[in-house]
Amino acid sequence: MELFRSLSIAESGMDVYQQWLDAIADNIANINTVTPTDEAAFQERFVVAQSQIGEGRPEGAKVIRAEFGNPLGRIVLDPSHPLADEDGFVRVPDMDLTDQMSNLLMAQRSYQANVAAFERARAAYETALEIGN
Amino acid sequence: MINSIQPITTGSIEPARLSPRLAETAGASDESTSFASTVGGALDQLAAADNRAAGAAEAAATGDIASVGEYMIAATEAQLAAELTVAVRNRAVEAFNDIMRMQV
Amino acid sequence: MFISDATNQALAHALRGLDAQRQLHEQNIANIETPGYLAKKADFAGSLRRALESGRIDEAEIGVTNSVLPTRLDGNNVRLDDEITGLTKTQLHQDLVTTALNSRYRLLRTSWDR
Repeated sequence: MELFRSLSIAESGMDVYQQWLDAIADNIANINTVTPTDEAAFQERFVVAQSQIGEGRPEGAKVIRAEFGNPLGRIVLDPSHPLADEDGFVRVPDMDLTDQMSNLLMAQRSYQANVAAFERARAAYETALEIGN
Repeated sequence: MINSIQPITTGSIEPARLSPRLAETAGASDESTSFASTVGGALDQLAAADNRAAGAAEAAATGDIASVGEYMIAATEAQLAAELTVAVRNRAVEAFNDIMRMQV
Repeated sequence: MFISDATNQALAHALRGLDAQRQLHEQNIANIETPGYLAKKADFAGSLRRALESGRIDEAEIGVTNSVLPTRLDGNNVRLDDEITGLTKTQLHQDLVTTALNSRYRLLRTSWDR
């Protein structure tokens, strides 16, 4: 039973891209997060989306899990840092800001595309409600 | 000026006929398309269309209907069937009244 | 066809259920920043479906449940996108049910009309 399936599908798309945006925001917030060499680095967060099908009919998409990037990060020399080890090294995340920014643009555009799909579907349903008038 | 009054025989009055297309739509099966079969056919169609529309309305209430269009079409068809039945009934009454006036 | 037969009663119940749905969406949106607030949802379709099958429309109910979605740090689990899209769906469904009820009344009037 799904009377306004197109709306639910677009809604699921919005949810996926919202979660991606959240993940990218988290990565950007932690782009310079430093950890000691005896601990893992901040790991880049990815969301894994999967297409949903129910009874042969499309049901949009869903984030099924999160995945995390390289725990080793990069080792940089920063002896003045409070977390530096005896050789002066610290771990930083293995992430690139420009990558995160371009992902941010993609996620935002995709989110907007789903909002547009939602609005078009809504207009279509409103037209259907006028049949016979 | 009336010189003589001719008796009216039933042979000179034809049963009122609907246009062949309308009679077909109303489901009349005999070739003579008598009013009884025409009205009966329209009533059957109306009952069927009304049942379909009621079922579609209940499915629309629970959200189980397959699409908005499916409900709107069922409702429109029921409405048209009702209007057809009313039109057929009204013509029948008119024709009956015409006949009654003629017999005076 | 009676004026208030099972079909019309079912449609009227759906309108009440959709009204409850709409109000809860609005309440959830108003409480999007309230710590510890769990999003609420109204359900009437399942109960109405069973009532129609059993022929006892007056047993149809409207239930309210809390969302089981994960909460954020402040204990709130309202998702704004879901509430806004929910408002749209509820509005469209309400338009459909209202149209259905109007169609039923119009059908009655047509059959009474001279």
